[in-house]
Amino acid sequence: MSFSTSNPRLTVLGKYTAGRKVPLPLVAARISAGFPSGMDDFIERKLDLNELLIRHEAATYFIRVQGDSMTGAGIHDGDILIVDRAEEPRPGRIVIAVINGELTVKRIARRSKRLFLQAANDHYPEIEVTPETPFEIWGVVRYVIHSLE
Amino acid sequence: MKALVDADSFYVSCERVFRPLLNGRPVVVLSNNDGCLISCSREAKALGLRVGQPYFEAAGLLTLHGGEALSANFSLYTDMSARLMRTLERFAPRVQVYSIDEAFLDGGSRLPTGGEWADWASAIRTTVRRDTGLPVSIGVAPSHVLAKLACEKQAKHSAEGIGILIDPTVIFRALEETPVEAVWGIAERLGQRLKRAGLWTAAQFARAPDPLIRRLTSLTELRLAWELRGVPTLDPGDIRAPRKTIFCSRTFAVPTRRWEELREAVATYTARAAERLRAQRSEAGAVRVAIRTGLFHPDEPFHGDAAFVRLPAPSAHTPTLTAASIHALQTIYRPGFAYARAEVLLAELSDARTHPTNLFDPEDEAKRVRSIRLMNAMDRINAEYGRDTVWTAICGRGVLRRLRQANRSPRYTTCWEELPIARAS
Repeated sequence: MSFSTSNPRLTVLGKYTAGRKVPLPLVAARISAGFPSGMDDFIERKLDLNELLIRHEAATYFIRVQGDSMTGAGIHDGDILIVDRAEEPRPGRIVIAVINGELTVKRIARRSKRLFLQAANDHYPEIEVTPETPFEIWGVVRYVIHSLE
Repeated sequence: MKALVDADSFYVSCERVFRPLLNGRPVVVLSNNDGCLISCSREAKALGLRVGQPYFEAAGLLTLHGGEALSANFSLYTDMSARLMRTLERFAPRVQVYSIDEAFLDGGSRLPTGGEWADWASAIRTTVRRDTGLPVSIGVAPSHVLAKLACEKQAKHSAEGIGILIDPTVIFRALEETPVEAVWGIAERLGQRLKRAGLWTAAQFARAPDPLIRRLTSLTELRLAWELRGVPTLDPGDIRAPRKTIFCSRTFAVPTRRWEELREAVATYTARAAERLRAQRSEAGAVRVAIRTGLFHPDEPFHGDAAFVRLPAPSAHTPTLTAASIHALQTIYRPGFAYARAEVLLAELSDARTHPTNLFDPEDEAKRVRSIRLMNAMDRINAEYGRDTVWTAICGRGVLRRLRQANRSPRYTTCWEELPIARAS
């Protein structure tokens, strides 16, 4: 299952709907070790996308993308980002940064001790972050929800 | 040790998380129908604006200073409140939600020094800020009433947002500076009575002999004095102070899967909350219901959800509030889960005595007056013969009409169509 932010070929598992858990039934295959009690070894449970996609529930927000500056990172106009504020914003990670009071999507990069906010599209220049730059990391993007319809 | 965590300008702060452009500007949030101010940013307070003021008085000043007035967005605020409380649960075994933006934490007695408690509070504050985006103030003290004092008198005025009242001499100095009527839970009239008896400051009140306090007041206020002496004797829920929100919740002894049982629980909590609502002569403008399964059963699937229902008009009428809470429950209940907890929150409280009379619909007005009499009678009977002597049968869905809310922000966290936008351009 690849569901990464850097790979544009995403495996879509199902459609995620309004704030609800979407239980997908899974019947596990018969297992030979364990509890040998006739019918009971068919374990049935539901798959929950929240379990897969959300690490810190209280700190996770969904944010919609507007624009094409991150297409190189597999993030397209109209996609929904799963953003975790409790995650550490390290270089290399894609983040929501507040620039001039607006939420923007960027990748953090560090080159020779200098810090940059980069787009993933050659048409957009990178921004160097200096102590004078008024910016703030709002949260770290963990997943992209991209519709293929 | 007890801690009170109180979100700063909560409604405004919720808005600012998703619109950073509102930072540093005077911002206010307006009540139902955009009538008056229910939350003011620090900058708005500096202009002299206060919660409770009618909007028309504030409008000119706000425009002049580049400020903004927003319509209340309670679906956002209740969701942010749930995130706040969830985050706090990581720091203490017991979190008591006192209102939409305040909670008491029971920190136990594991830390030996005041400095370490300050570090604990500071860690809470940093984590809440990072995870939710909300600024909070925290007061730490041996009792609930002192924690409240530490929060209001010290934390709210310090740059660190933390107030510690642990050292006895520091506590005493703080009490000497606090007029007796400013103590949490002492109403204005009682304050006057205490002053006539020579008890002008919180320190004098705390040091007065118990028989004197008992002669002047009731048992609750005697317990208040003990709280001020640093002995926890009161549950926050028992303190008589007008609330901004009323919260009633229980964790069930045995989780239930049955809709009927859950509905009954929610109806009961709504009735309890409504009783408290009427006792402080308020009306509620909205109801929030939350349910969840148990937290510590790895083999049971987890489900938790909350819904917010706004009433067509503020009400203290149990059947109206119950209809709204059951309607909310219907939208979040899903069969097949073992529910372990239900919560009912009454929000957007206003003073029932200032309820506008409906001149255009005398029949409606007569109905309202009758329903108030009925509720008062019900409360009297229940007070006399014990709780739940008289109760209301659960009734059908409430009617939900749209209200005037000219400048409501998107429901950033509870509606797929209204997610915050991040620019990639």
